[in-house]
Amino acid sequence: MEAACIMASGTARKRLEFLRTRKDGFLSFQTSKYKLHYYETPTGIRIIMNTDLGVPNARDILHQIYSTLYVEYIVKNPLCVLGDQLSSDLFSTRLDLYIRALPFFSPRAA
Amino acid sequence: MSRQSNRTTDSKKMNSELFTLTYGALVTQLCKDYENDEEVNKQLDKMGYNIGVRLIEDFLARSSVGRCQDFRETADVIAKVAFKMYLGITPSVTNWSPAGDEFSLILESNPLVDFVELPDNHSSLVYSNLLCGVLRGALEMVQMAVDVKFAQDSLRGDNVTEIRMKFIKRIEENLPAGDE
Repeated sequence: MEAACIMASGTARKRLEFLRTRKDGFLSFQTSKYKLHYYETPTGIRIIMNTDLGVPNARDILHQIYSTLYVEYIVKNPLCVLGDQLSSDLFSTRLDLYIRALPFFSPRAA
Repeated sequence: MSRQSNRTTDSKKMNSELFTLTYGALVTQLCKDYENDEEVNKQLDKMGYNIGVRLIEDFLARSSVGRCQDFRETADVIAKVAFKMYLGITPSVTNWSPAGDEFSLILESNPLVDFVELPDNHSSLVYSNLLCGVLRGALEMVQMAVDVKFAQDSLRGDNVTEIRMKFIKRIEENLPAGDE
């Protein structure tokens, strides 16, 4: 919820635009309570993951989510309309499995 | 990382003859379904566009290409990475306009036309027009509006096949109202 507020506020938005023009773009930020990881493709797909503070740079993980889950199960599924809400159960299941298998995933937090 | 991790990096091999023949069957069917060549060209472009808007995601997932700095870089990526990845050929990039907003891709060979000979009654058919749509659709998704057309086609007696691409404008992202 807190993250959503920050994303929508004007100054953060401008800063985001600015940071995006650099090579890797905006990667993450953290507060005292959580860390937000961000990944954006040149097509404008944005993947955001909130974690606790101990999680290291998750760029590769978010890229994996894009290339092995989003592209495979959403883009290559002709029944999924791009730009609509992602309603594919297959995608959700795979994403869930993937996240649960991450080394820093801890079931008690879920 | 589970077994999924390497999946998209292996490029799946496919029989190129099957691909060529399938494309031929598609064009033949369109020629039967539509009255004239112009309409077939339009349909091919439209199909290509729909392929392009999805294919770009696959391309970005497989290659490690990021956002291009200028149109020249875009041209290089299209010729050396994209065409290589999906058609197995590397067209040359030439005939830049002085302003740097227009160039040609010269295809020495075009896998789509391996077994094709145009009958006389289809003189205005742009057989490989699907490719134009693919390029247009893919670039539109990375905020580039381009105009793509065949300038020369070896099927119609030219020495080479030439795709002419013209940069029109950068598409600004539409932010939701009140978000700026």
